[in-house]
Order: sequence, then structure tokens, then C-alpha cells
Amino acid sequence: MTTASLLIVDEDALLRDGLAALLADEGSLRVVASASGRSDLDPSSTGAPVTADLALVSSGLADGAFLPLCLELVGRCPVLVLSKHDHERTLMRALEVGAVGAVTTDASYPELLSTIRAATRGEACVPRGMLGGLLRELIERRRRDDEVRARYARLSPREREVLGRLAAGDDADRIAAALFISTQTVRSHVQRALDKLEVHSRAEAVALLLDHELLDEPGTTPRGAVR
Amino acid sequence: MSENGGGLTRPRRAASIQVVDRTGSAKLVDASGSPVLGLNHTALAIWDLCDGSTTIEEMVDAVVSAFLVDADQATADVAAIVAEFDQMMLLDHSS
Repeated sequence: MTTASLLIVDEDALLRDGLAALLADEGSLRVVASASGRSDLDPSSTGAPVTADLALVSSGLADGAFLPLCLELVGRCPVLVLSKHDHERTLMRALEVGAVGAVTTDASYPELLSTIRAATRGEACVPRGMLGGLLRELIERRRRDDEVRARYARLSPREREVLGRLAAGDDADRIAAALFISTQTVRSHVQRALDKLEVHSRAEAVALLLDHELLDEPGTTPRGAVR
Repeated sequence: MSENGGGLTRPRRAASIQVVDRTGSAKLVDASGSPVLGLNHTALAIWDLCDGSTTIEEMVDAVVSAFLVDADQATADVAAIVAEFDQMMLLDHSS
């Protein structure tokens, strides 16, 4: 029988140790590492990146460590989210960064085992009680995305260029100098862009573009801008 | 029966049909309380999305994202579920 190795990441030592003890009786599963958070998995302290056939990662990690850790781990092994609450938005974010699914802490032990085994095979695992909410959340997100993209499509290439420079940290004077236009013209472009995007501030506009991947990262040119 | 759920673009649940035992063996019952169809958890989720505003395409996209399956598989699965609802006359065709 093939044995699958597991990494467990949860702040609760009792849960980690208890789960490891339970799984020790399962011939086909073996906990090879456990960690309370991201810092425990830092190669500078472990000597090398921790690898396993599956990482079981708690969605309740402190300081926003959950998603960055998922992102780090998905390149190495399938990630299954251990969710202490039915929280579709958290699961959706985890799926977006590449997790294979989730199991909730109210699952029975046989359910947990079958979910872990399915996840080690790379199968998607969505808890029964979360599926409806997850699909609804995915659809709502897609609709919001389509709506923002439609608004963005109304921006002129010059307005996109100005927004991109704003996102890079340039002020109106610098943008005006770079584009050989007046500061007042820059302000007009900004105001029109804000109106078309239906936002009230420059910060809101930049956040919107980033959130909907219309701007890859601060400092890059928005898609469709004049180059 | 066509492959897109009886030609429906935005399927809507018939008002007389209700879900019972959502957390166990979910099933649809008619106005008299008689069971008409058992639902697995995917079918239950699709049933909930049959609200008259969600398109089949949106359902398929969401299933693709949730289950990491390819679009052809998801399209076939969603179409089969919606087609079954339609065949069992559980959908509202009034609008």
C-alpha cells in the first residue's frame, strides 16, 4: 500500500497532535511535519523546504498568513484547507490560489479521512454544506468582475495611462511632465476616469484595478494604456 | 431534450417545489409534500442556483472553478442536472 505523507499547519497544538495520533493508525497516511504557522516552515529554520504529498492548512492562521502560505505550498503539493467555519469566501480565495478544496472541523473522522485521500489524489474537495454558497460566491464575483471590466472598457487609452502612473506613485505634476500635457489636463483625465469607474478616489480606483487584475501590480501599465 | 437543460438559459425553480432535509439526504417535494427527486450535493447546489437570473453558463463557470474540472465535463454535468429538473417538470416556464 502506498503511504501518503501529510503536513499539518494549525495554530492549535492539540489539534495537530491529536490528528497526527489518529492518522498514525492509518497505514496509508503519515504525518511527516506539523507547524503552527508560516514561520515554522521557513527554510532558514527547517534547513530545506518542507514537502509532503498533501498539506492540510488551517484557514484560521493569524496575521493574514493563511493565503500567502497556501500560495507558497501549492507549488510543492496539493493544499487542503482545514476550515473551522463554513466560510465560502475564504474557500473561494484558497481555490483561487490553487488549493484543492476544504474540509471543515465538524466533519466526522471517516469524512476527514476520505477527503484527505481524495485530496492526495488531486481531486477537488468541497464540503457539502459549503458548495451552494461557494458556487453563489463564485458567480457573484464573476458578475462583479464583468461589471468592472465593462466600466474599465469605457476609459480612453490616455485615462488608463494616467491611472497607471498614479498607481506607480507619480503625482499630477510628474504625470504632466511625462506626458507633455498640463497638470489641469491630468486632473481632468483622472476625474473622468474616476467617473467612468464609478469610484470616489484615486486610491479606490487603483485598488479596483488591482483587485480585478486590470493592473498587474503598482507601477505597471494598465491594460490598453498608451505606451 | 436539448443538452442545455431543455433550451433554458436562466432556469427558474417552480414555486410549488421545496427542498427538504438539506443537511441529510436532500430531496425535492411537491406541494403535497410527496418526494419527487433525490438530490446529491451538486444537484442541490444547482437547484439553488435555478433562480431565474443565473445563467447555465454562469453555473458551468462556477462548477469549473469549484471542482477543478474541464469546461466540457462541467457543461455536460450541469446540463444533465438541469435537464432532469426540466424533465421532472420542476422548473417554471411561465416567463
